[in-house]
Amino acid sequence: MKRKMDKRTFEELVVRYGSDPDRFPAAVRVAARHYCETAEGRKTLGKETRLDADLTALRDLTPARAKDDFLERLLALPDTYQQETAAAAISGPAPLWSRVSSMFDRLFNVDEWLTPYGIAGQAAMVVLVLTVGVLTGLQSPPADHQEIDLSANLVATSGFMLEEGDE
Amino acid sequence: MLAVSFLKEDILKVESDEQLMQRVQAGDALAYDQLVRRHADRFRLLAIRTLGNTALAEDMVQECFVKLWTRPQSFDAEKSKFTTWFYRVVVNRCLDEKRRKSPAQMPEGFDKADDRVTADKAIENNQATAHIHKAVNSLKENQKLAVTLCYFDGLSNAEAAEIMGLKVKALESLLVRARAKLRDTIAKGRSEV
Repeated sequence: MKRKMDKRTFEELVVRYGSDPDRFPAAVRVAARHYCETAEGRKTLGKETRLDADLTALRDLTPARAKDDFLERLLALPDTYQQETAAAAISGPAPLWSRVSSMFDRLFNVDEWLTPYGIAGQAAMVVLVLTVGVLTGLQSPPADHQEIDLSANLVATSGFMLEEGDE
Repeated sequence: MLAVSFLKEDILKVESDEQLMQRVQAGDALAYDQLVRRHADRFRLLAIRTLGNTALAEDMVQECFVKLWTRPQSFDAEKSKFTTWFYRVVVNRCLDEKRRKSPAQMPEGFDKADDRVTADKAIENNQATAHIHKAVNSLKENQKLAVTLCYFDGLSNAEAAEIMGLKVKALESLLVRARAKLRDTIAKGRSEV
């Protein structure tokens, strides 16, 4: 199917592929050539080609080579400036987040659980949990024996259910 | 035959910019040397076209190479090509400088003569290209940058779009508008002559 070409589409193709319709993709090349045979197409193509020539003329006018002293200035920079290496960057104190993150990484690393440090850490954790439990218990002693008798309510409930069954 | 095989080996030995940057990251000054020799002219030209002042452009490019040497870790080969990254560094530095030195921020009545030879003056002196140069300078900043990257630096639309942080379609629309404005301005300039 032949695609219809208009000024806008042609200008978009020029931006993408340059002002030579022979360099357009095969799918639009024929339509572009037909467009370039119309009066409007000839005018548009002429303007686009001329603009490309103008831009090339301007581009070629700027001196391409730098003077040697500029190049020497750039080449001398390593003698003047010290590199900020990655090693230097991490030699200072690590940020809080990275320290916390690394602690969690080690905590959940199974390979480290059976090392001497791992076993000591686990023992310390058990002692810590027991100590906290005992201290919490000591701070709020129970008022009477019923508060620590977990089966007291269970017996009462069972009795209630038996009474219902009797009726 | 032997010469050909040596030549082939030499060609194969040419390291990519990204490989050289890896060596710069390890503190290799020779790799930095090669990058400078390979790219200094290209980025100097880009800065001159963006700023229109050779001395200032060279200072800006030097600052960018200082950054390249002192903080090479800011380049990540997995994210972009070396040239794309460094184009962005140079373009941003030049645009910052341009904004800083924009006439709106100058004190009232500031009109100090600049006796340094500028690229702008050299081009303006050339009658044939004076009106083209004027037309390019009359473009909006982003249109001018798109024209500079695509037509003067010869980058592909995709590369230019990446440097400018745009989608390719958006860059192409920018170029269509820039070309339309250039055609009109240059035609007016010619008719006045």
